[in-house]
Amino acid sequence: MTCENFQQELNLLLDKGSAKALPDEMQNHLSTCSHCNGYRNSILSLHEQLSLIPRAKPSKGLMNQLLSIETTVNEIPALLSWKYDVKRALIFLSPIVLIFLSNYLPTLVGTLINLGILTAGLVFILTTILKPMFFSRY
Amino acid sequence: MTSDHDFSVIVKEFAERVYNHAYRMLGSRENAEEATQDVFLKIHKGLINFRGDAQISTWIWRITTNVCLTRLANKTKNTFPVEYDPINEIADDNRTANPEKIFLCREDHEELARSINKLSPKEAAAITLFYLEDMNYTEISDILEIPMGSVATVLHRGREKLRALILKSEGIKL
Repeated sequence: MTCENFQQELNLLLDKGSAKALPDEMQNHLSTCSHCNGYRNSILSLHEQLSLIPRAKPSKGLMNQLLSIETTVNEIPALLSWKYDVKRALIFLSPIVLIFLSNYLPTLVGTLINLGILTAGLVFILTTILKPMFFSRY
Repeated sequence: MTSDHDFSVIVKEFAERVYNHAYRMLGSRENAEEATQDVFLKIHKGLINFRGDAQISTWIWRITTNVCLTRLANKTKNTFPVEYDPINEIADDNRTANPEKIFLCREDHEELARSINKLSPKEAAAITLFYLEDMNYTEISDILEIPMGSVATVLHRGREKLRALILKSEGIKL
């Protein structure tokens, strides 16, 4: 058995958790090779030390931030939805209000209001009918 | 979404482990905190579509490892904590005479843990999952998406590099 083979086999046994009791072939190599003896001791020790590494703990602030992700992320669509609904209602109601007002106001103002109604109608068509056809809501 | 997949339950169960994994891989608290937040944002976003093809823990570890690997790929080594100096050239004569005793004398696990982020990202991930999360070859292979045979190789190489780093820090020739 070569030193390279010994070291590879030892690493595999280490991963399986059975590196303390070596097979005969490895034991024979170990009895004749001081280099592998040293290697075995150091790698076993490293293996043990790695298992003893303490856990790093997150701060309370981080834990609170993580727990608040759900609330924060859920609130955004709700808020958007509310604003979106108000916007739709205003666009829908504004022509009715403007038509009502135009009947009671002088001609020039009435014309301007009629233009406003046309503009509002266009905005309504663009934002509520065409936009959702091509873009998602959020 | 079942109660098992409830986000707050997942946070309580995995936050500490995810943070610990990120900290050991990335080497600084600031990076680990940012990575942990990224991980849980991704979990929250993906949870609704999680079909249960894999175990939820495997899915979470895969996200965690990928977030850390991406961060490691994007950041240069200079962003790691400057206070960490991996090579301390001062060697003790007794230790030099008996290199295999070095690890037995060593009590500073924290320094050993910091050496992990000197490994390649895949090696650091494999070492962290194997030693800190007690995972076996199959689980590591699922998370890192590499063949089982490669897990053994990556672990072996990672251990060799750690051993070399520590011996070098003690001023011992291999």
